[in-house]
Amino acid sequence: MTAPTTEIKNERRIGAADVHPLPPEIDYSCRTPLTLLIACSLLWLVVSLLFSVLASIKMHAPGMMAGVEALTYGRVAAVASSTLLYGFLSQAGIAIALWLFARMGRTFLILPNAAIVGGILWNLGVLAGVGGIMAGGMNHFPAYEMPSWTTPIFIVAFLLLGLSGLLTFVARTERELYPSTWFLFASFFVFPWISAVAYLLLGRYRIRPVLEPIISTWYANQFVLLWLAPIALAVIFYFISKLSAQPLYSRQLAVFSFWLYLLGATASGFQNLVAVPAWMPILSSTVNWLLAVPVAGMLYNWYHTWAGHNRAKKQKDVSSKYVVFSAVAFLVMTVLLGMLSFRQIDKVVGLTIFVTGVSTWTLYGFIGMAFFAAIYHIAPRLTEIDWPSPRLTKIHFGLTAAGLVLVTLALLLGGYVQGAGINTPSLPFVQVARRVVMFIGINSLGLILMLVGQVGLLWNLILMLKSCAIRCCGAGRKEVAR
Amino acid sequence: MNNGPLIFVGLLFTMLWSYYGFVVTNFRDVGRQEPFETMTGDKYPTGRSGTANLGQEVYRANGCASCHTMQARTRGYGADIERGWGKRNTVLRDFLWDNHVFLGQTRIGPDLATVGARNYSTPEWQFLHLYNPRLVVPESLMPRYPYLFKERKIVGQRSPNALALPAGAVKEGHEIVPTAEATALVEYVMSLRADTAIFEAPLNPKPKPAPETNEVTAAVPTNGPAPGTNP
Repeated sequence: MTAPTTEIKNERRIGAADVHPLPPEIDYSCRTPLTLLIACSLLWLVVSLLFSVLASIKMHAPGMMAGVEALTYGRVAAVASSTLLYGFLSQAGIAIALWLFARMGRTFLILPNAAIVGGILWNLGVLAGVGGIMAGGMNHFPAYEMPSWTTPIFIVAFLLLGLSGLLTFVARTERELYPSTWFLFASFFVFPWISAVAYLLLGRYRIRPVLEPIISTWYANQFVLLWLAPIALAVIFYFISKLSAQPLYSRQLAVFSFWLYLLGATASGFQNLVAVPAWMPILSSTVNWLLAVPVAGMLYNWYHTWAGHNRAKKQKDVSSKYVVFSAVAFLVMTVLLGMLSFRQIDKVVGLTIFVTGVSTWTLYGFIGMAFFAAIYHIAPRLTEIDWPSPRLTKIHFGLTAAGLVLVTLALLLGGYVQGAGINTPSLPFVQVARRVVMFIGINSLGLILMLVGQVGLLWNLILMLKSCAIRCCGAGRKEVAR
Repeated sequence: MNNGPLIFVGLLFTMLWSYYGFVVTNFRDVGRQEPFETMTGDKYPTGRSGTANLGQEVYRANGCASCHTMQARTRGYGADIERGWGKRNTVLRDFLWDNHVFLGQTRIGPDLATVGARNYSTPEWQFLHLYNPRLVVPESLMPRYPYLFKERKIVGQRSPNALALPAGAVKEGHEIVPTAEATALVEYVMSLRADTAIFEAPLNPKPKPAPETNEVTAAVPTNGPAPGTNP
């Protein structure tokens, strides 16, 4: 009798195996909608980085394409940011969440067709939003640059995708909930709420425009820390346990960190706003330090689950280095947020590209890297084909990590130089801007490295889909031809 | 925590406290602000002109807010006042009648909270700067906005609105005139002058130089424990 593979053994550890569908069957039920979502999300990621590179180059070459209205700096930057947030991160996050709901609940994906329709609608929404921004319909809110009329498209698309996720959650045959599910549940709960608030109060009924900065900051914070970040945390919790083939070190600690994280993250985000009533930045700053407690709890939990177990498998698996990178990035993000909450530090680097550096690090380093880990794990299971080029996966990790570190360091240091310059009144502002140019140049370089890496990942996925299509449909077509 | 409904209720309350705390209470406090009555009986702020309100839409549509903030910080918190970016810190009441509030996040370019009140700032300067920033600030890194202007042949007299460009910047017999968008944008930018003292943001006068009391501190005996420390 052959020993079952580690994966099957893991899946069967809890509960009776016979009533549950087998993992490959679950993956098969996810195949079409999730392949669609993941492929489109990686496409948007490449688009987003293209626009980021363009925006960054425009910052040191201000004359470039100045006559093209649709490609003016403000619009290019808005397209880069919104395709990253909605095209890549949200979409990939939904795909990963659906897969985790199905796999951890040990059930088939319910309503895959609704998920397909939702996915198509979501991409149409992103496309419409990009067109709207370039045509001059953009909003000036961070993380909500797409014209407000696109938000209902996202809400409807999300309701379809979320319905699939929720029904899958309800239909689970594994009754015990792993921490990942709590986080996914939280993020699926938050997204419709905040989108509805943004649409109604920032777009449709602008009751008091003077509240715009407050509501938009609230939205941007919830979008990153309560919609995207919980999915990334779910991914980390899942893989930390999965790849090391260990049960979670402490479930109680996970419960504690989960609630404290949510409670804290809901009040973060205002630390750098100047013109709003002072209690908001002060509350956010305090809460950012409070966040250190749940973050430390999670890291402690992960470390004890991960370290020293199942070394050989972890080394072989592509996902492990992404997971580790993401977990470390989570810690760095918390430290950076904490730094921004110090008045003495905010005095210098607040309102500079330092803040951009922190959000870039959060979005790519913590959330993006976790999503890459999941995509590297999920895609081969959906298509039942291994990544065609192991070399490209190595190149992808190297370029993404190197590019990201370069970008973040450039923005953080540049932000410090910029802030110190602004706080020296004898220095003309033009000279301050000139001093930052060098750092923007390094930023462009890092973004180009990241772009090349993502093109590699996309190419790898295309090769995989091609051989999957040949295997699934190619054989069929030949039979028909005969 | 294996109970879906329990998690749901917990999440509901978590989100409710955040929504109530940041959105609902601010509707009540910030959203119900009234204009400030100055000592002379004037109301502040007065609304902007209709053209300036259209200019806000141009400001929004071109993403100006991605490089320019409109929030001057108070004296002692950064050097905004010393830099001449305003006489006092910006507060939300400055934007009470606006359709959009562009506080912004990043100062790639200078802060614009009081740009209309600065010495160099005239509509002519703003038009030239918008057409090509390097005409007036040689080292500037701001993009040009030629699409907000029209080049046209001079028929009869020069247009009074035509830009006063240096020789050779435009073809012989042609002139550059601002479009309605540029006019609206400049009107909006020139209307930015948050310089009235109001209750929550008094003008920040230069602090008086500290009185020279060095002798007093020097007279503290140095042989005993410093005051305030436990011996």
